Amino acid sequence: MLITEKMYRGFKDQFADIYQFLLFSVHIFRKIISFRRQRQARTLVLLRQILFTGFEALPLISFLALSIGGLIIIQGYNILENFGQSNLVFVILVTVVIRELSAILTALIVIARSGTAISTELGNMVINNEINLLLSLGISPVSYLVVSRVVGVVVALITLTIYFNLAALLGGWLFSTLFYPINFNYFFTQLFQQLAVTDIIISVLKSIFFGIGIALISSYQGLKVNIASTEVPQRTIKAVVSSIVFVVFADILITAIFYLL
Amino acid sequence: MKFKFKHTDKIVGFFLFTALVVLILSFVVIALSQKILVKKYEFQTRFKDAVGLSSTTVLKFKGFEIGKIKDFNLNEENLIDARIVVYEEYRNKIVVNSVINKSSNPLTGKSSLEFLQGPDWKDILPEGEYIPSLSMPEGQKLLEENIIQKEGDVIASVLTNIDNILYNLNQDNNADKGVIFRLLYNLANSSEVLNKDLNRMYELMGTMNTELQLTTGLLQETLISTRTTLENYQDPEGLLVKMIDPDRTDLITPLSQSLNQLNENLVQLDELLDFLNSRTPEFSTIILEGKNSLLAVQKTLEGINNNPLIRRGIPDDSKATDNNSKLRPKDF
Amino acid sequence: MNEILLSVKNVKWNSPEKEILKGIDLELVTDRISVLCGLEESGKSLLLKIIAGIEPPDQGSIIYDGVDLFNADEKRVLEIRKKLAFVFEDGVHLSNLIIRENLLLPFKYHYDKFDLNYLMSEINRYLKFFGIGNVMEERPAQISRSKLKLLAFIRAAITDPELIVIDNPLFNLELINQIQVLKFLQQLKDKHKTMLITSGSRDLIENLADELLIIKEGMITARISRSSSEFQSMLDNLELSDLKGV
Repeated sequence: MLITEKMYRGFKDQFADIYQFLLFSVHIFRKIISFRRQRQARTLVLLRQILFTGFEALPLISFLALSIGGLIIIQGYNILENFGQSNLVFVILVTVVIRELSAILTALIVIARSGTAISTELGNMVINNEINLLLSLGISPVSYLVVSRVVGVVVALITLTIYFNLAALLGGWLFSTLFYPINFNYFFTQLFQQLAVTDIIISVLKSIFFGIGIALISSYQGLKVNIASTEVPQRTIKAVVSSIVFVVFADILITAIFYLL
Repeated sequence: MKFKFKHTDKIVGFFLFTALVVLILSFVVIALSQKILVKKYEFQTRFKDAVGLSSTTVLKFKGFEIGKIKDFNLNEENLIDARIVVYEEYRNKIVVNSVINKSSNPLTGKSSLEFLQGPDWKDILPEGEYIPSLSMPEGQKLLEENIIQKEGDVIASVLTNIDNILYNLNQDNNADKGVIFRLLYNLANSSEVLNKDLNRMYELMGTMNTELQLTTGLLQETLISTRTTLENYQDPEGLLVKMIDPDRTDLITPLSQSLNQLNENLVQLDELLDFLNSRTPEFSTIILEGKNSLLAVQKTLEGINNNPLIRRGIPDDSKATDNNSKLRPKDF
Repeated sequence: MNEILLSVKNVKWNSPEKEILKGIDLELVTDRISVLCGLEESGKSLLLKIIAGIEPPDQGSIIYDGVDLFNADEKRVLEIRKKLAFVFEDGVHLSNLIIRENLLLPFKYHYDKFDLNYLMSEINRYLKFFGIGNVMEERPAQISRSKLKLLAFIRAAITDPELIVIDNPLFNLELINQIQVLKFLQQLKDKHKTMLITSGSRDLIENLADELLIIKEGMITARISRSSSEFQSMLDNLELSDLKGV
C-alpha cells in the first residue's frame, strides 16, 4: 500500500471517528436538555459522580493548589523585587492561577482520576453485558450513564476549580508570610483589587467546557469498547490523550476569545 | 466506603454548598472592594493621548480614590474621549471649572488621574458634563487664568510622582535600593576627576596665555626695529644710494614700497594677536561648557546604567563553542 | 382469544465473517410459551436480543403492538420496552449498584412515582420462594452466579411485563434451583404471560412449551405446536441433522 493511500485511510478513519463523536455529543446534549426526566435513577449516578470526581479529589487538588500558590509567590517575589514591583505578584497570582492554572490543572487531575475511571468503567460495562442489560430494561445507556456523568463531571470540575482558587490564594498568602509578615487583610485587599468578576467567570466557564469535553470523550471511548477486555486500556489511553488535547485547545480558544472581546 | 455511599447526598451537598458560598462571597468582596455596587456618576473628559490609561486607572482627589475611568476611545480628531465615573460619596466634589490631570509614572508606565477642583465648591457640575483635562487647551486656559489652584496641586502631584519613584526604588529588598546614593557617589567621583582635569587645563591655558603674550611682545619688538630700518630707508641720503641708485628709481623706491606694505601687514598681525589674546577667557568658557556637557552625558549614562528596566537589557554576545571539537582531536 | 403480540419480519443479521440470521419470520402469540431450540451458534441468542430490542438487525423489522422497535420515535419505543422483560443467560446486574438498586432501577428510571412497599413485599416473596437470603444491600460481585440469575428472574417478574424473553433459564443452576425456576415459569404461565425461551432442557419443553421452534443455521426450520401430534415424536426422535446441515 502506498504511503499516501495509508495516510488517506488514516485521515478518513480519524474523520469518521470525529464525526461519530460529534453525533454522540449532539445526542448527549439533547438528552441533557431533557435531564429532568428519569430523575430518580440518574440522581444517584450524578451524586456518585460528583462524590468521586469532586469530593474525593479535594485533598489532591488542595495540596496541588497550595503548593502552586506558594511557588508562584516565592518565584514571583524573587523576580519582581529586582524590579521593585513586588506588588505585581498579586497580578501574577490572579492571572496565572485564577485565569489559567486553576481550570487547566484541575482538568488534568480530573482526566487522570475520573476520565480514566469513566472510560474503564463504561468499557467494562460493555464487556460484562451491562450495557445490554440497560437496553433490555428500556434504559438508554447514553442518557442513564453518560448524561449523568457529563453533568456530574462538569459540576465537580467547577466546584474543584473554585476550591483550587481558594487553596492557591491561601497558599500564596501562607508562603508570602514566610518572607514578609504580610497582613492577611492587606494581602486579600490587594488581591481583590486585582481580581475582576470576569476572571472568575473565565475560570468557571473554562471548567464547564473542560468538564463537558472530558466526560464526553471518556464516555465515548469507553462505550466504543466492543468485546475484548484488552480494548479497555487502549480506549482509556485514547480517552486521556484526546481529553488533554481537547482541554489545551479549548483553553487556548477561550483565552483568545476573551482577549479579543 | 460504606459511610460515603450511605451519606453521598449529604457529602456532595456540603461539598457543593461550600463552593457556592465561596463563589458568592468572592463576588461580594469583589463588588465591595471595587465599588461595583456603589452608585456612580458619569462625566466626560478628553486627553491628548491614552498612554498609561487602563480600565483600572483610578481618579484621585487629594490622595483619595473618588472614581475611576470607565472606558476611553480614539475620536475622529485623534484625541482620546474618556468616560469617568465618580462614586456617590464624592459626587459633590465635582464642581464647575475643575480639571483632570493625567500624570505618568515613568517606571511603571502607569498613569494616574488627579482631580483638580474648581474654585467654587458649591457650583456642582451636572452629571454627564465635560471636565477638561490639563492636556487640552481648555484645561490649560483654566490653569493660566489661575482659576484652578495650579501651583499647589500640580507640584504636589509631581512630588507625588517623584515620591512614588523613590518609594518604588526603596521598596522591599530592592537590588536597586541604593541606586540614588550610588548615583550621587559616582557623580561625585566623576566630577572630582573632571575637576582635576580641568585644573590641568586651566594651567595649560595659563601657560598658553603667557606664551602668547611673550610672542606678541617679541613680535612688537621686531616691528619696532623694522620700522626704524624703514624710516632709515625712507630718507636715504647716504653714500650707498648715491652709488647704487642715484635716481632712486631702480632699487630704492620699490624696496621702500615693499617695506611699507610689510609694515602695514605687521600692524594687522599685531591687531590679530591682540584679538587672540583678548579671546583667551572665551576659550575657557567653551571648555567649561564642554565639561558641563560631559557631566550631563555621564549622568545620563549612569542613569541608563542604573535603570532597572533597561539594565542587562542588552545581552552579552555569547561565543558559540563547538562541542564536537572537544570530542575529537582536529587531526582525527 | 390469542392475538399476535410481536412479529419478526425477514430479520437478517451478518457478522463481518458470515451471515448469522438469514431472514427470520416469526410471530409470537399472546398467552403462549414458545421454546426456541438450536445448537450453539445457530443464532438463537442473537434472535432473542433482536426481539428484545437490544441488537438492531441489519435488515427486517420487529413489530410490537404495531410499532417497529428499531424504526420509531424514542418515546413510543420506550413505552413498548416497559412491557418487555429480558433475562440474560448469565443473569447480569449492574456491578456498581447494590441488589436493591438493581431491582428497583427500571422503576426509578421509568416512573416518577411507584408503590415501593408493594414492590418490596413482592421482592421478598420471591426471595423466599427461591430461598435466597437477604442480599439486598450486597453488590453483584459479592453474590454467587446462580443467585444472580435467580435475582434476574425476580427483576423480570416484578416489572409485570407482557412478554418475557429468557435466554437459557436453566443454565448454570443447581438441580433444586432448576426445579424452582420451572415452578416460577409455571406461575408466570398461569398469569397468562407470553414468553419466548431458548432452552435445551427436555423438562422445560415437556412441561411448559406451547410450541417448539427449531432454528437451524439462521433459519427457523420447524414450528410445532403442543397440540400437534408431531410434538412428542419430535422430542423423542430429534436428530443432529434436524439442527445442523451436513
